[in-house]
Amino acid sequence: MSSLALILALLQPVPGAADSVRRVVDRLTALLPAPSEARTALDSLTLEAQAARAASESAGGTLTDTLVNGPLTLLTTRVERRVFADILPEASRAWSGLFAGPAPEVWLEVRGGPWGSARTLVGRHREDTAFRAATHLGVRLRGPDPESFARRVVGEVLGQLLLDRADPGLRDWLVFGPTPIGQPAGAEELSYQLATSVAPATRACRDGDRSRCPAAFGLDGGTTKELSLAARGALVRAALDAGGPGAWDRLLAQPDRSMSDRLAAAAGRPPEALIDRLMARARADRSGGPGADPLRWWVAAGWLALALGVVAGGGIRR
Amino acid sequence: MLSAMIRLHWKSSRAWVLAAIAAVVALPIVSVALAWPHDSADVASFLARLDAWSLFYPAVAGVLGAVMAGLTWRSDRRGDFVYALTLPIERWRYVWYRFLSGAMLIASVAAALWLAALLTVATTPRAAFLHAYPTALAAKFGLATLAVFSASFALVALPGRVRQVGARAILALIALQALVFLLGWQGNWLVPVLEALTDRFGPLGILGGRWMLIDV
Repeated sequence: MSSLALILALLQPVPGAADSVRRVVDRLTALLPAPSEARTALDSLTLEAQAARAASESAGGTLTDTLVNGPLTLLTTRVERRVFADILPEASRAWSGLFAGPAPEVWLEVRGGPWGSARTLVGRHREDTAFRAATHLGVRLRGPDPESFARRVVGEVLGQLLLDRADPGLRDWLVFGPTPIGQPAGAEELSYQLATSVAPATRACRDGDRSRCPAAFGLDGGTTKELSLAARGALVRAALDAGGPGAWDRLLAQPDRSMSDRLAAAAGRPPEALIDRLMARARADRSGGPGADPLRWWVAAGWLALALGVVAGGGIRR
Repeated sequence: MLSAMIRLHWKSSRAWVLAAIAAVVALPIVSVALAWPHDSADVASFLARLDAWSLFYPAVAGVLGAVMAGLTWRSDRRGDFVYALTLPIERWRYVWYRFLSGAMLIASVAAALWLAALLTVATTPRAAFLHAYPTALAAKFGLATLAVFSASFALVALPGRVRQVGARAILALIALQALVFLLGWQGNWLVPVLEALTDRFGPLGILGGRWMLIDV
């Protein structure tokens, strides 16, 4: 019971006293300044972010920023902020595009020690209490192409969250979630697998027998899955890219159908067309060979020019 | 003057250049022939063996670049640069001609590799999803040799005393590292230095990466 209520209760036997006290209190309250707008405008998202930041700091972490874009919220540290801020809008658009209705809200957080080697990006659906997805960051965000790496890790975490809410049949078939952004996992490997595989359906598919290609990707309902999980992930990603908005919802809509039918529903076209597109991309892939890393060439040219400049500028010495 | 320099450089280094040409002509032919699998469908082992053979390309590039740089300045060092310093030519132009003469001989070796790679690729049946990279291989070989050549060129052009002090310091560091290793102490400074020299941004980073003539 508050102090005012106690006083009013004690004054109840005295006629008119309680009303007089109440009028005085109201007039005094009117003279006080209004409560701060910042304190009254806190929404649940801001409160959650503050709670997460406090929990991280009490555990020795250093979260400093909350980035929000559409259905994605990211708690990050000073070091990673710039990199993730650049790709969060793209991730948000890709995530939202997978669902026919409003996309589920996702909470992402950078966790780990201050020296970079133990950092992890974790993710959960906002209504979940525990983080359900994680991928290791390592020190790659300080490497030569942090944006591509950040795009890939965010894609991996979002892919894990996608699969976390899929039916058991899809989870068993796919194992790793399809990444909604970044280079699809397995796109680089597919050309190598197609070139080197000795499995019968894959060899036949590679050599031009298109009727054997669905079996190579595990779409024929058989137990043998010749191509790797990464190749199947690339196939699902191709279906999501081709299907446009709501493709993921359509993929989940009929869990009792065959994987081939589900991919067709998601992509809006037969899975053979998706396989043809992947095969054409793999055939055109030039990720191998000596020219695979052009950065090394430019760096070498730079060092060459520097050495020549030093010698020519310094001249020859006895 | 440049043509005279090239002639003199050729005379002093022709044995090495001819040996390098023989090596780079043989490498693609021998590597593809020896890597070829008994079962033509076993592409994975073919690529693995070809990858192992491809290590010889950066090795030849490194040796050729270092030797050419040493031979470039050998005659001038013998004469203590007296003749070079008395020539009526700017120093930077003289250095540039020296560099160019070495670079042109290196380019001839890279051209030989390119022709041999083209011939090998033309006569080798390729499985689907495999591609040949003869031009990229020859260009990378030329650039890698030039990179080693330019680094060695700069080092060899240093004054003799500086080179002696530097060489002794490096030998002392290597000896100290070996001693630390033998005594079981913690301490490793050579490996980070080597990694810095050969990673993607190092001066010798071009020697890394893929060197396969046939790849996915």
